[in-house]
Formats: sequence, C-alpha cells, structure tokens
Amino acid sequence: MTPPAQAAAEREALAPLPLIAGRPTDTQLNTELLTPIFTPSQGWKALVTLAALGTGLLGVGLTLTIARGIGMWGNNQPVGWAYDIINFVWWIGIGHAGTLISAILLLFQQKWRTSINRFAEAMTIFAVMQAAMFPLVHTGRPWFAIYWLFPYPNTMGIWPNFKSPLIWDVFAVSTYFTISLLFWYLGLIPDLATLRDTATKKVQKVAYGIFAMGWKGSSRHWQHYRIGYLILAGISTPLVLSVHSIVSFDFAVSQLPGWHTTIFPPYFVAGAVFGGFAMVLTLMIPARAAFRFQNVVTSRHLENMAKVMLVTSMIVGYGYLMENFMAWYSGNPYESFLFFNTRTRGPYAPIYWAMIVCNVLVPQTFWWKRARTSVAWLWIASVLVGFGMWAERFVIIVISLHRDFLPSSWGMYAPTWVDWSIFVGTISFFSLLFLLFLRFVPSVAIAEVKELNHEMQHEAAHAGGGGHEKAHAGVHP
Amino acid sequence: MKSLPVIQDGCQPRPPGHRPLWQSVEELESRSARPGGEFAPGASEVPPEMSRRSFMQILGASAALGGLAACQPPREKIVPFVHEPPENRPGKRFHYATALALDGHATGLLVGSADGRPVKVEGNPAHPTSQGASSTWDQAALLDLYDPGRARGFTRRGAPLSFRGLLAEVQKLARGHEADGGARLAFLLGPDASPTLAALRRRVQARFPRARFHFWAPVTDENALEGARIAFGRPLDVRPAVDPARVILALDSDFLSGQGDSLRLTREFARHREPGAEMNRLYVAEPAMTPTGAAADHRFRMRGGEVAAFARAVAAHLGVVPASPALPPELARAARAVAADLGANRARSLVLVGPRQPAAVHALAHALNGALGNVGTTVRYVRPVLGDGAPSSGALPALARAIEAGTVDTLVVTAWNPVHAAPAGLDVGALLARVPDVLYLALREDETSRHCSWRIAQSHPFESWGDARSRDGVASVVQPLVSPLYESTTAIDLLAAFVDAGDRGAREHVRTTWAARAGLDPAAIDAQWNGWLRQGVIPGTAEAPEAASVDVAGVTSALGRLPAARSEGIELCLAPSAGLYDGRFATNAWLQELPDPITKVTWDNAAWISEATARRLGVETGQVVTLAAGSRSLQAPVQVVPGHADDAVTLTLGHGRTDGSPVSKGVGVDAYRLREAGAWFVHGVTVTPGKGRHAFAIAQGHFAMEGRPLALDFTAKDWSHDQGREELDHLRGPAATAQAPVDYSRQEYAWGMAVDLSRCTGCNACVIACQEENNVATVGKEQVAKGRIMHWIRTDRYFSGPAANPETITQPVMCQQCETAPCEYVCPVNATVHSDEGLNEMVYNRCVGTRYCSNNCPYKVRRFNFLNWRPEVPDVETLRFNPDVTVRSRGVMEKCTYCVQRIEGARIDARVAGKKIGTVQSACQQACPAEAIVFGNLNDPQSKVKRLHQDARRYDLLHELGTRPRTAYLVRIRNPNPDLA
Amino acid sequence: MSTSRVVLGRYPSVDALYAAARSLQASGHSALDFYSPYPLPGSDEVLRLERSPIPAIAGVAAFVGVVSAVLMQWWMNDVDYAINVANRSVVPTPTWMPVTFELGVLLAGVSIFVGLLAIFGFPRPWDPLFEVDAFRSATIDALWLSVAVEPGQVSSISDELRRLGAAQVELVPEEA
Repeated sequence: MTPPAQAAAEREALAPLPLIAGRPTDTQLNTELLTPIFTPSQGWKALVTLAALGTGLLGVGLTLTIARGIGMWGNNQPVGWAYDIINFVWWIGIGHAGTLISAILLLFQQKWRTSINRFAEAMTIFAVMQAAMFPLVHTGRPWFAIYWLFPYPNTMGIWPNFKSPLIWDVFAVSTYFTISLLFWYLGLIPDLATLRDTATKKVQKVAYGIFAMGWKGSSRHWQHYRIGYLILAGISTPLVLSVHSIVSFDFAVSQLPGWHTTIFPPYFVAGAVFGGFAMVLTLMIPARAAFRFQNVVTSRHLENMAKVMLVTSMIVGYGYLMENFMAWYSGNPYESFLFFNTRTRGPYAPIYWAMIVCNVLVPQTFWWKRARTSVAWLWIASVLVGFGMWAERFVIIVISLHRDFLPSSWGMYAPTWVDWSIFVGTISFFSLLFLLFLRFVPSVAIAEVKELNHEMQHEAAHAGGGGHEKAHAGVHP
Repeated sequence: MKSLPVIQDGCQPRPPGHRPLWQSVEELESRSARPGGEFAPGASEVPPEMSRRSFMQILGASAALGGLAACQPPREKIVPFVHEPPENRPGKRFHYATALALDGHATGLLVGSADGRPVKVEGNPAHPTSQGASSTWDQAALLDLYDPGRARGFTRRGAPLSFRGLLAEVQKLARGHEADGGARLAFLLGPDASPTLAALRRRVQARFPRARFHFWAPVTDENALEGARIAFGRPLDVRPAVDPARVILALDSDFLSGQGDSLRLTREFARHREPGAEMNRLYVAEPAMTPTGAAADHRFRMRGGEVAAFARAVAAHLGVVPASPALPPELARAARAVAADLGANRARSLVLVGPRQPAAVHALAHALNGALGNVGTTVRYVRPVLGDGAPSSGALPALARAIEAGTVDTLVVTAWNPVHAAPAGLDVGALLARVPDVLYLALREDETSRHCSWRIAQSHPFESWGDARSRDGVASVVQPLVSPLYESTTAIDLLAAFVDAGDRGAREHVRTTWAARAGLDPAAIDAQWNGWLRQGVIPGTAEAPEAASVDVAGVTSALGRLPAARSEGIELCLAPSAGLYDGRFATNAWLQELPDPITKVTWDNAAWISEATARRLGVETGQVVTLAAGSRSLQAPVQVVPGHADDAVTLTLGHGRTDGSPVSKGVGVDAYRLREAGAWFVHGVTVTPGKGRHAFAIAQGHFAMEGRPLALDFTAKDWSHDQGREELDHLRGPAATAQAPVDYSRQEYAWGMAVDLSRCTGCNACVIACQEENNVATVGKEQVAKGRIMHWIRTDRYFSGPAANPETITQPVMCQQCETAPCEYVCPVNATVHSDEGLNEMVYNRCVGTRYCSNNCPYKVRRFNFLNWRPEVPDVETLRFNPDVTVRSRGVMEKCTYCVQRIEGARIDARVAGKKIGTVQSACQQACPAEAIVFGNLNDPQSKVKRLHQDARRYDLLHELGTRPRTAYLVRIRNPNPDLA
Repeated sequence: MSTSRVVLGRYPSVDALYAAARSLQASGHSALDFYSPYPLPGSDEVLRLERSPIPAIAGVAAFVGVVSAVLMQWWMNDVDYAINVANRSVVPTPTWMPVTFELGVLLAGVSIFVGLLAIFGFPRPWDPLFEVDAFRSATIDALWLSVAVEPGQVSSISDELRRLGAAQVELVPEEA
C-alpha cells in the first residue's frame, strides 16, 4: 500500500462517524431515498387508519366545544386557560426545532443538517398547524374571534388592541406559519422535479409536475434559488426566536406570579428547541428504521441532536433555577409562595417534579457517548423530554392560575374527556399529516444530499489522491 | 274587583276583554310557560352515553362545521301597546310600596316596576323594619313570582274549577257546616298578623262557633312567648334597640341575620362598630358559627343545652339569680367577665336570646335586662302582633288527634307545607287523606298538595291585595304590582268565601278593615288610602310599649326545672337554613346557589361538626354519616366547620325536599326527619361513620388568608395607639405605576366605592341584590363545583387564629374598577376599556372570550359564560330580567360595573332636570342593612364615599400591584374585652 | 428568438461541462445554460451571470413591512380609536415592536418567494426541454448543457458538442 493511501486510511480511522455511509452514486441515492414513495409498505396503511381515527376524535372534541361552549372543557374561574393554551405552547414549541435546524445549521454550514432538515421542516409546519388551531378555538366565540382579532375596517369603528400579547400572537404565529411553509416548499421544488422525472405513472408525473412548477435544474435558476433560500433561512432564524419570545409574552406581560417573569423569552426559546429536537428524534428514529435511511441519517446525526438536547436542557434548567432564585431574592410573598409551596408541595406537585426529572435529569445521561449512540435510549429519552415539556407548560399555566393572590378565589382544575380527546386528536392529526408527508414527498432533501455527497467525495478525492475518477463516478449514468 | 289572571292553563280559553290592555306585553310574552329551565343542571355534561352512532354523527357534523350554527342572532319580540296607557313611560322605573311577611312579620318594601312588571325589590326607607335595606329573602321573592313551576288554577279532586266556581263550591261546603256550628270544620293557618285576616277569622268564628283554628309553622317564637309568660305572667314580645347598647350579650341569638327584624338590628349594630367611645361590644354564646357569631368580639362556643347554664352563671355574677352549677373553667371566666362588662354598662347593655332556647332562658334574659335597667332604653316590651294567631308547634299534633278522632270533615290549610315540615313520626299525609275535603292554598304544588282533595293556587304577594304588620306593629297595605300571572287567589278571598264574601275581592276587605279602624266610611277613605299606599306604612299603628315587671322567683324556679346541661352522647342542633329558612325557599335557585355565610356551601346542607369531634369520631368533610336519634335515623354528609361546639352536630332545616321543582328536589338532606315537634336540640344522638362520600359545591374552598394583607382587622386598643396606622400606609396612597396616571380630577364625576369591614356581617344581601339587578345567572350545583359560579359580588370569608374557635372576617369583593386595570391591556379586541369617569367597562358585544382578562385579574372578580346558562328561558321568566342590563350570551366575560345602568339612568334624569347627578346607589349598597358599602362620586368633596376614601382606616386591596382600585376598604376594628385578652 | 433552436449535450463530469461551455463561449455562443440535479459550484462564473436582484427585493419588502406596521398601530390605536386602555400611555412604542418585526419578516419572506417565481416565470409545468425524454436525467443524475442557435447551425453545433465530449446530444423540438 502506498504511503499516501496509508495516511488516508489512518485519517479515515480518526475521522468522526460519516454523514453518508459508503460512497453511493447519485442513482443509488435517488432510488434509495425515493423507495418509500414508489413502494409503500403495509404498515403505513395501518398507521394512517389509526391516525385518521384519532383525528376524528379531534373533530368530535372541537364540534362539541364550538357547539356547546368552553364549558365542555375543565377550565373554570381561577383557571381560565388550561389544556387549550398548554397544547398551543407545546405544539408551537415543537414547531420551532424544524426551522431552527434547517435555518441556523444552514447559516453555520453544518453539513449534517441536510439529511434531517426536510424532515424537521415538515414537522414544523404540521406542528404549527396544530398550534394555530388553539388560539382560535379556545375563545368563547370563535366565530367572531376568527376575524375580530385582525385589524380590518369595520362599521363599529373599533380596532384591535395592539397592546395585547394575544394580538402579537396572531401576527407572530401566522407569519411563522407562512414563512415556514414557503421555506419548506422552496426547498422541496428541486426534489419534486426529481420525482416528476423519476416517476413512471402518468398521475404521479402530472401531479409532481404541477408542484415542481417546471423546475429543470437550470444553473441560471440555481443562482437565484440559492441566494433566495439563504436569505429565507437568514430571516427565519430571528423569526423563530421572536415567535417563541412573543408566545412567552402571553405570560411575561401579565402580572400573575409564575407568569410575570423577565427570563421567559430566552427560556421559552431554549425550551422550544429542546422539545423540538426531542420530537425530531421521536419521529426520526422509527422512520429511519422503517425506510432504511441509516446510510443518510447516520448515528452521527442522532448523536449531534443528543448534544443539542443536552445543551438546551441545561439552559432550561438554568431557567428554572433563575425563576426560583428571583422568587426568593425579590422577597415577593406571592411569588415565593407559588415557587416554594404551591409548585413543590401543592396538589399538582407530582407534575412539577415529573417536569424536573424529564427536562433536567434525563438529558444529563447524554454526557456519555454510550447514551448518545444507543438508539433505544435516545428514543425513550426524547419521548420523556416531550412529556416533560408538556408538563412544564402545565406547571406554568395551571399551577400558577389555580392559586393566585386571593385565597378566596383559589380552585382546582380537572380536564374533561373533551380536553383529552382534543389533545390526543391533535397528536393524531399531526401523525396523519406526517405519514402522508412520508408517503408522498421525499422526506430527505435529495438534491442537497447529492450535493453534499459530491462535496465529500471531492474532498476525499483530493485528500486521498488518486480518487479522482471515483469522485466523479457518481455522474456516470 | 278581582283582577283576572294574565296566564291561564293553555286549555282554558281566556274570557275576552276583561283584561286591561296595558298588560298585553306580559300576556303575549307569557304564553307557554314551562316549568324547570331556570338553569340546565350539569349543562356541560357529555351528551348521555355517546353511542357509536351519535359519535359518527358528530364526526360528520364536525366536517361541515362552520361555527355559523352557533351565532344566530338572539330571538327578539316586538310587541307594541295597542293603546298607550297614560301612566306608562317606556324605560321609566316606577316604585310601589308594599310589604312581605315572613312567619307573619312584615318588612316594608319598594318594588321597582318596569313597563308594568316588577323587576327589582328594594327596602322601603319609610318603613321602620327595613329602613331602605332588604334581606336576601325579600330580594329573592321576585324569582318566586316568575317561577314557571308555580301552581295554577283551582281543582277539586282533579276537576278544574273557575274562580267563581271555586267560590260557589266553597260556599256550598260552608253552608253544610252551619248546622252543627262548624264542629267538623277546621283551619290550619300559618302565622299572619294581617288585621283583615284576623277580622275575617272572627267573622268565620262567629258563623261557625265550634270551628277550630290551628296556627302552625315549622319555626315559632313560642319559647320566647312562654318565657315572657314566666317572667311577666303574660306573653310579650321583646323589641330590642341595639343603638343605645354598648354591651350586647347574644345567647344563641342570630339577631344580625335570620328572621325577625335583623335588618333594623344590623343597621343599629353596624352604626357603632367604628372606633371610638360609642363603639359597642358583642358577646355571643352559640353552638354553630352564625353571622352574628362571626361579627362578635368574643364568641363562646357551647352546645345549645349549655347556653342556659352560661346565661345563669352571668346572671348569678350580677346577683339576679342564685349561684348556678359550676361551668368549665374558661366558660366560668368568660361569664365573670361578661357579667362585669354588663354590670358596668347599666341601661346601656342588652341581653338577647334566640328562639331556639328554652322558655326559662328567655325568662332569665328578661330578668337580666330588668336588673340591668335596660328596660326602656335598649329593651321595650310590646303585645305580640300575632296575638291569638301565634303559631305553636303543638298545633299540628292537636289537629292530628282531631283527625284521628274523625271529627274533621273539612280542613282549610294555608300553612306552608305541613306534610314536609311535620314533626318526625307524624304522617300528616296519611291523615289529610282521611279528611273528605282538604282545601290547600299554596304558591306551588308540593309534598302536601299531593294529599289534598282541593288544590288552590295562591297568588304571590306581589300579585295580591292584603295587609301586614311588622314585629313592632307598624301596618302596611300589601298592594299588587301585577295582575296574577297564573289564575290564583289569596288567603283573604278563601277565608271570605266561608262567610259568603269571597267575591268582594281582597282589596275591598282590606279597605273595609282599615276604614273601620280609621272610623271612616270605606267609600270615603281614598285620600288616606292612597297616602298609605304611597307611604307603605299606615301611621299610628305601632304597638305602644307595655310596662312589665319581672317575677324573679318564677324565673329562678323555671331555671331549676331545666334539664341538666351535660347529657350523654352528641347533641343535634337544628337551625333554619341561612338560605332556605324552613324550606319554603328551597325552590328558589338564587337562594339555593347563595353560598352559606359561614361554610360557603351551595346547593346543600351538611352535618356541621367541630374539628375535635370529627377527629374523635374518625370522620372527615364529605364523609356520609348516619345520625340516629332514638328510633329515627338520617344519612348526612359531614362538614367540619371551624368554631363549632364540640360533641354537637348542627343540621339546617329546609333541604331534602322530595317534591317541588327540579330546583329543590333531592338537594341536601331533610332534617325534619329527626325533629320532634318544635324541638331544636336533640340530645343523645349517635353518629356512625359510613362508607359513602359526598361532593359539596363550595364557593370558597380556601379559608386561610396565608398571612397576606387582604381583609385586615385591628383591636380597638391597637388602633387607638396608632399601631397599624403606618402598617396601613404601605397599603394606600399613590401606588408605583410605570405610566403617569390619568388625571380624573377635571372630570365632573369619578365613581368610587368604599367597603367598611367593621360593618359587614357577611349576610349576603348584596349578593342577591346584585344578582337581581344585573340578571346574573344561576348555574347549578355541578357548575358551582367546577368553579363557574357567576356572582358578580362575593363575600369572602377568612378564619384566623385557632381552628377550634377562630376569629372570622368577611369581605365583600366586587370589581375594584382599577384605574390601571390589568384586565384591560391584555384584551386583544378592546372589549374592556376605561371610561372617562374611571369605570372599567365591559363591552359584551365586543368580547370574544379569550379569558385573558380573568387570568390577569388579581381579584378574580370576572365571570365567564362557559356555557349558555339559559338554554331556554320560559317566557314568563324573561319578564323578570332587568331591561336596563344586557343578558349575557355564552362565551362572553362579564363582571361588576358599579351598576353603570343606574349611573346612566341618573344621568338622564339629571339632564332632563338640568342638574348634576345627585346620589346614585349601587344595588349592593342599597340592599346592605349594615351600610357597609358606599358608592358615589369621588370628585364631590361632600360625598360620603370621598370622606371614607380619606378615612384613617382606608386601604386598598393588593395595593402593591399598582392597580389603583376605585374601591377602598376600611379595616375592621374589633372591640375585645381587655379582661378576656 | 422564437426561431432559434436549442441543442442539448450531456457531459460526464463538471470539468468536461465547464470546458465545453468555455470553448462554445470562445466560438461566440453566449446563450448557454447548464442543467444539474444540484447546484454546480462555479457555474455562475462560467456562465458570466450578473448578481441576483433577490436580496434587494427582500430588503425593500422588509422596509415596507416595518413602516406600514408602525403606521398601522399608531393610526389604529392612537389616532382613529384612541381610548384609555388600562391607563397605558398614548404612544406605547415598546408594545409596537412585536407586530412591527413580524410584519417586516412576513413581507420579506413572501417577496422572496414571489420574486423567485417571477424571475423563473413559474409556474410553468410544461417546457419544450421536457419533450426530450433523456433530459429527465437532468434532475436525477446527469449534467446537461444547452445552447440556443440559429436553425441553420443545428447540425454543426451538434457535432461541436460531441467533439467537446458530449456523451449524448439531443435537439429540443420547436415550441408549438
């Protein structure tokens, strides 16, 4: 073996886990990544049926709510918000990792992003769809709320109150949904073209042809496309931060102990990334196994996500710590009562402690490589974190509300079956959309993977030397 | 004239043309009144067992759902007058003076009528017993008037009768009794001081010399009258005057709430709760905490049977009666201190005894008041206004014996529901069934009417002519505000029928009576008559004080005859319910949903026991226990109540109705099942813990203030030493606000309120007044339990100190109308904003119901319509609504507005008159007997509210939040006896 | 130039593609374009493309969004419907920030998307190139070069392309 080749071999040994296993050709990548679309599995059909039924539950819950009133839920006098806003914040939080992964990692040119960003963006959009439902249906009169919250000229001569965080929400969430959708679709166009050209059935040809809008991979298009995509990524990043900051204003701007906290914006954003990454893992791990994407979604990706979760978990933990510190340091009797009595010893204390365990302790295991690389544990941990983040919102919303200033108005909250069916329903609806996405849209950005594949083989070629032909082998038909 | 009913049973055609046209609004609106529907019990429940089919239906519907189905405009009716009556001014409120009697003792009222329908009950300022205030029961009477469940028409053995037919039949029946002088004719009447009825009774007696009149009621004053007989040799009624009293000893007497003239007494009591030399001191000895006990400076808890011993010890210290058996040390100490205090305030002290105490204790009180020289200053004695018509608990058993002896053929019952309230073991129902003709006059079908051959619908007092007398004798003419909504009649008409005068009409009888009294010709008293109606009182009818001397020896011997205080086992104390009284208000949803002043329980009664007793018995709140008294037993849920006497259980009367309306049926447990005739205290009761659990609907779950400065109180001593003044300075004055406060000083009006905790007794009159004025919905037990009660004003009640016998403080909380309102800036649609006069306004039409305002309201005074609380309002009930206040729809937030409709009404009048707005009274202020709530214009330096806002005792609730509330609170001052500190 | 015809050539590697392009440019053909499944590094220089207008579009849109947001809130809450809400000062600038920011981002984002469609002339599901069956590989795994020429030059340019190493040469049918 020649010295350079040996050196290359050594470098291989030292290099981190590969982002793309093996050295597939474009053709191989193509067939591999499109398999789920052209050859659907039986399990998929079963799952869709299940998800559809769950979505029906959502329909029932919403119908009863709108037809008979918020009274169908457990909400009451001290606890004006409960599952409705918990779910809203939880879903919108999940919806944040997508854009963040996709946008920020793109800006930082993290190569490992390419295999998971499409996945994450889809998750974002579907999660935001769930979230966007709640601000509307949680109102007492949604048939008015649906347009009274927007500033439209009306005969009453009344305008919305731009001092209210709820109005900020309306703008933030709708903007976020629009931008995420455009970002996702823009990234999708070249792959839709690929599908159009790979498809054999007439229907698929036509359908994908329409959505591809005529993309033909022209370099003159690629030029505008890349800059546009980059800017979109650029503005999405502050957008993500702003949206969850604004969601946190719903609480921070009020004066209720446990809500009235200046640390909320950063700690909500961190929490969103935290929960979002957990959700990506929860979905990615089974999908990867089912569709045999192990080559493009390698354990390197999983490990990186575990690291991100470890970091964000510690930011969230710091948030909890600061809340308690301020409660003590400010000497505000109402705050300290909430933090050191109601939360830790009150009737809902178990949920508080569950939150601490899931969000702060569980991710600590990611200090160990074995935990980060064990797929099973990663999945369990991310499910736990998903629950933990839901519990966090319960703690913030219900626990703060049920015991506020005047003990005379303290009360308890208990969810009704309608609350549950709406919660389960949104999860089902989300899964349904996701399953359809997996079935009909390339869940990994093919073009980007191909690009990455070439960059790497190029580097490898120049580094390894002699690999020149191999580097370009990919483009042979 | 007998005015014809507005509504008759659908089947009967209405005789045309008999009805004054101006009633057509009601007529048209009031057809097809359905019972029930006051609220939907458990409206939020799941559609019963969601079948797969209905599931699929909803599933399908959900697809098509556009929300449009839910937003049809509210149904509207426009019914013009055919001929505009001259006196009618649309939208203008007329007030008519009338009176309501409870157990025969009247309270003078002014009833506000809008477009010919009574919509608001207010106290008559000219009437001595109400002095402008009104009780929860007076207020709630309005709901009974419009209750779709009321009895209608007349039937004999199921066959309907017209009014004329009824009179004819009764007269025929009467003639049949003439032969034997009415030997087989009996009357069972409730207590009523009406002179007209008394006159009619005499005429009936004259025609039927051998007819028997029985006067009976579940709650009587017979012990008091018997006590007077012991002390004075004749029955006299005590007329206490709290005003001049500096030291008051209330022996099991809840004189600040409950029946009697609590309105007047509360007002007099509250006047002297401000710090200073004039401040009075109240000692209360009672088993279960009452509003009076909560207002006391010293409260001694003891079983009902021990009160006598305590009273005797006090009397012994004052040398009124010989020394008594020894008391437990702390009570002995208390007795000594109380006696000393009473002795030091001769002629300025007062000893009151509750109707539950045995006659001897009443007699002792007479002796005490006599010895203390209180007669003439704080105590007067008058002839009981009920006279020979005073009810006795023995009346029912006596009647029962007569029926069993088969000596009764015809029985006329106007007493309320004898079957339900009969003494335990006396099956009145079966007895009534044995009487051929039982004529039962009742406002609604109840347990009794089932057993009566004649069912005669009674007119509501607001529909009928009559007369009544207050406890001190002042007479009022009861005048109708509206023609009977249903075909019904009055006791006067019914009794008159027995002397063939039934067709003259109640009004004629009343006029005749009073013409005779005035010594005038009935035809020629119009001038006086109209004056009486306008005034609401008939001058010169008050009873003159009677001179009376106490027979101390008799009193002492009576005391000797009392059973020994300590008896084995547990003592069961029965008491009238704070909301339902003896049960006659059980069908009133307002009163059912009114939180008990102490326990805050709604839609229920419970076996109240002390913490220690609960521990001893091993039971806890919500656990169902079996109360056994002799052979009788009753299952009741336990509630542990602070301040209750040990080894005693208190159960309130009035719940557990088996019949009546959906409102009353099966709510709570029926304490009558354990009650001997007239008994209040049952000794040797056993309590056996059961397995069952019962869920209460409690309006205020948490009793402790958690050391927060919310409802503040100081002892008079600390206050005089300026202690706490600087403590208060942290809770008032300009609050730190980020924004420069808006300047309201240039406005003509700045509305504000002041609530004096020293005066408030937590009687809840304000709550019902607000509910009536502002069309506040009732929601039912399930929804209250879910925390969705709708009251705009609530009386928070906090306990402090030892749970065994805590100090209690009550605090009415309504919207504080914050100048920097936290609720406003969070509303996305500008549905709650500020008026230039400083009101925190709620725009119902604009509200979309995000509930953010409620979350951000630190006082939690906002109320949300979680469901449509009025799924379908029977048309007759829509008449009840105050036309000046929006009836809120589902999904909308609502709250106290300082009765903005009254402010605007006053503004209109002022503009018309070209003057400034004079005094505006909020509904709660108007009803409050203690004058604890004061509303007015803060920009008027002369106004009382302005003075109170500058009072040294003023503080703001949650001042540190910088909400700048317009409602100020005045700290409560307690006046404890230094010797007992 | 509806009369002009487009000739396609498939090249085995990026280097070959670029080489071909350069020599064609040297021989005076400027109407060139590449087609590839992923963006080709350096293609801009080879094709001598000028800078994209997208950033400018986005910038303007963002500015419009921000300004309109500020004006909207000021006019709606402080001019047309100025009402005392919780004693807050009349011009509460801080509370304007969220909406202002969101509106800026929204307009920028939408303008980028719309701008791209405008530049591409999308949606345009059918394109004469798609008539060439082999061209489908352009979005899968092949590199194509297109050159537009006068109808007369078609055959010569085809030979030229082959000479420059095209593995396959196709003539795009005329637009119907």
